Amino acid sequence: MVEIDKEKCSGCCGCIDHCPVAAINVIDDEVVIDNDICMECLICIKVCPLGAPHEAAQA
Amino acid sequence: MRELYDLIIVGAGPAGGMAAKVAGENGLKAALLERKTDIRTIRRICTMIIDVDEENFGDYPTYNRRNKKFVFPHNGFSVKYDGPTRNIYGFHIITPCGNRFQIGDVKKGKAGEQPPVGLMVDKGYWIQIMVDEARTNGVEIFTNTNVNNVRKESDCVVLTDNWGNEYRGKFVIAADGVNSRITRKLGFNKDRVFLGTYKDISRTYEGAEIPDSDALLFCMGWKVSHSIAPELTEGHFHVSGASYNVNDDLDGAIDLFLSSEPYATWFKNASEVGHRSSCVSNIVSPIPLPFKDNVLVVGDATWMQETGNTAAMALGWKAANAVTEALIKGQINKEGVSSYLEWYDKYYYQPRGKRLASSGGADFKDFLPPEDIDYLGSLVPEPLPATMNAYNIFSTIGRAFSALLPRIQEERPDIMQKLMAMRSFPRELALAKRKREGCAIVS
Repeated sequence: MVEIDKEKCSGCCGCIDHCPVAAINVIDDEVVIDNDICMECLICIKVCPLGAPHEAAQA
Repeated sequence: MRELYDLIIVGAGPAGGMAAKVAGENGLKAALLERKTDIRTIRRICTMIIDVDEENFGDYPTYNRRNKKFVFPHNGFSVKYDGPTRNIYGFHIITPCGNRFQIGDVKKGKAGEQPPVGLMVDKGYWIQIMVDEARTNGVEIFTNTNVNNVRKESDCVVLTDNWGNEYRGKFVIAADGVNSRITRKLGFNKDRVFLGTYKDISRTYEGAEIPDSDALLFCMGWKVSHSIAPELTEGHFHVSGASYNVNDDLDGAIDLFLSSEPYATWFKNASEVGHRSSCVSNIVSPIPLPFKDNVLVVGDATWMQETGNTAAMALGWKAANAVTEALIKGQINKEGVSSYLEWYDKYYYQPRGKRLASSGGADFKDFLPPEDIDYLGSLVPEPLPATMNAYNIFSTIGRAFSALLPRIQEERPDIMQKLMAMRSFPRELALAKRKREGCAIVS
């Protein structure tokens, strides 16, 4: 699954815009990935200028 | 079922904020949907400058300092702004060894001998003013609302947000920015040319000492593009690194940049403050006809990158007025909003957009090494006439160098050859490179 490092995230929403399935949203001004919708294409990791999204082991 | 709005605006930026303000003034039953909760805080890198006192898509916007408002005399509207401003006197290109190619004379500007061409504003505060006016005039503001889908029904447009709520409007204004999801969902992008993915990060420093810094400083000849821009707070500067290659290490590039001269000296007593900001833009050619299924497209959603704050305001203003007209005429269709579409074609698409649609050439840095850029930068030591209008900046550079071609041919035939090779580089190869190094939005 993909997680977002809140310390690195600037909130620019570039990953949200690029996500093909709208799995990422801004909720209370924080960028949040819904892992039920995410299909792990990893485009968010590729486009993030600050390296905030990363792959994480399933909880 | 939810109520039916006359107009729903998506995105509380310069274009959407303006459209909402106009919808309120015109008495429409309108809603503004915004994914952020705190509209006041700008999170994405974007320009904080409003171009003034020169032509901008057919208008000549100016700032009325006495009554604290931006005025658009050709179009005939104004926008209140009583926040802080900072004068920007031009656009300078700094070559690797520190030569400056100057458009606008900062020294004269500081001495009061050249008026500013741009005003840096507190953009979040300015947008908040427009949104507050809209709310006062009865526009419903929904924040924390990510619009993820759009569909047309027989009598309305339906927007769906991340919470599963539906919003129904007779018209929709899409002001959802450079990576607009609404235009994508409506199929606009099928006819648009992908020109690259532009990735940008920015850090804020205090305590830097930079000569003639009341301008935008573009630093050429580095692996990625760097720029330095003053902030509203005296002594604070943005330093950015940007590239069309999504794999470039922008952070590492800024570190290297700031440890090289002249920047190392400028920043020797500087320290980083605040949070880093960023942006990633999917660059696609401008939309020829910004209307489909009763959705009007405005601002960066209709363009490729940076219509600019001034133009975004004008687009939002015109679109919301066209919707008002359509509602009064009872024409809930394309004909109803023709005043927006004709105006957009006349002032935006024909003079500028059409050309941008065929843009996308070779990258400068692939053809000219840093020492060649130093040579070119040394050829124009005196400042050229000031402008902040991006199109005029390009034509000013073009004119200056066209006049110098015989001299370059004489002094440096090798550089002349490289310039010619860059010019004749096939566009399809340049676009293929942008595609390979970028990351086009797929849906």
